[in-house]
Amino acid sequence: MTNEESDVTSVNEAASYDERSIDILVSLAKKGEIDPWDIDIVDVTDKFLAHIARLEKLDLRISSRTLLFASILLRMKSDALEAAEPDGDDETPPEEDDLHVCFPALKPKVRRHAKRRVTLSELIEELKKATKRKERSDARRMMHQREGGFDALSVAHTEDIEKQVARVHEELKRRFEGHDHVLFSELITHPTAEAIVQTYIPLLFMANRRQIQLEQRELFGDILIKCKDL
Amino acid sequence: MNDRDLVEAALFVAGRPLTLGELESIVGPDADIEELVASLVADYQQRGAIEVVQTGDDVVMQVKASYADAVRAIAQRDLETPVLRTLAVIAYHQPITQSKVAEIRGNKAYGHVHELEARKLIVTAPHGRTRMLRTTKAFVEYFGFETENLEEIKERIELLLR
Repeated sequence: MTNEESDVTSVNEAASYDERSIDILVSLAKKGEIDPWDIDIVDVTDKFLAHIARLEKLDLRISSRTLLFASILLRMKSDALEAAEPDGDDETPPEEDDLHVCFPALKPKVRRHAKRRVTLSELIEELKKATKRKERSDARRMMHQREGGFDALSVAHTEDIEKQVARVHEELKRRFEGHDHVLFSELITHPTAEAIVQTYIPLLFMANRRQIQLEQRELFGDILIKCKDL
Repeated sequence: MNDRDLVEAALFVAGRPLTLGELESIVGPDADIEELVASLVADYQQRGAIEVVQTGDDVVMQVKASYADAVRAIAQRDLETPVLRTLAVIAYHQPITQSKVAEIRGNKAYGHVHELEARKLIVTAPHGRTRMLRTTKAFVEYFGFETENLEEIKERIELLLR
């Protein structure tokens, strides 16, 4: 037998001895042959704890049984404590440290936390406020648009770009007959800002669609429009 | 513990109508609940600003009508103001799409719609990529409208708006 095997055997024997002892204690207590009050639970538990550390490494079943016995003994003792009637004559004033045990737990007051229903007039009042708020918000948006001047997005939606593209397309087709290019200035009969923009933007759309090619040889000079696929 | 006092305590703490069955479950099957309630109703009629009212199977403890307006402002409402405002918009413009409500009330309206639907004050139905909203029978009962007809509800609201 090696030293290691010898240690394991001795531990098993010790555990088995303690376990049997507890077994006997429990069975005696169950039979009423011993009073659970006479068992020093702290002492027994300390012994158990010292062994549990060793027993856990050896056999889980042994340590779990030990724990079970300890809990049974503790339960018996607590039952006995609970059942014991306090003797009024022997009662001693509580120590200061024990005061918190003597006071009953605080119970919150039961108060009414009711919520009332909303009235129809309150609903109408909120509708008025919602309407006013929406009107103010719309007015702010309108004012912002006016102050901001040109709103590219809204113009893009409101103006019919395609209609203008078609108009310029027809004009270019007519002018390209017998010519390989047309000058931008030839398309503008009345050189107002609006007329220039309404002609120039359709040209950009057409150039993007590769129907025409735009060339500006000089900065701020006239734009040369060449036909590609009209 | 006195059975009559127990009924009184239950009505006080509930803050809502209790059925005779609910009261019986608190007081016990041996008590004559109808008699206890009748006694409380009579007692409260004689005193103070509180009354106990029985309507059919329901019994409620509430502030007497003559005192209600004076204390309403400090009583907490069961609908938060922003949610109530969204409900007002839905009631007036119904049937209305959820996206339109959000346009009027802002993006928080989606949460309000969810809460109002959970409270069963409105119903929603799929409508394209959004939902169509309208008020329910529970809404009609809550605000004491005499009709469930949407147009008539809108007419009544318009009348009150003037």
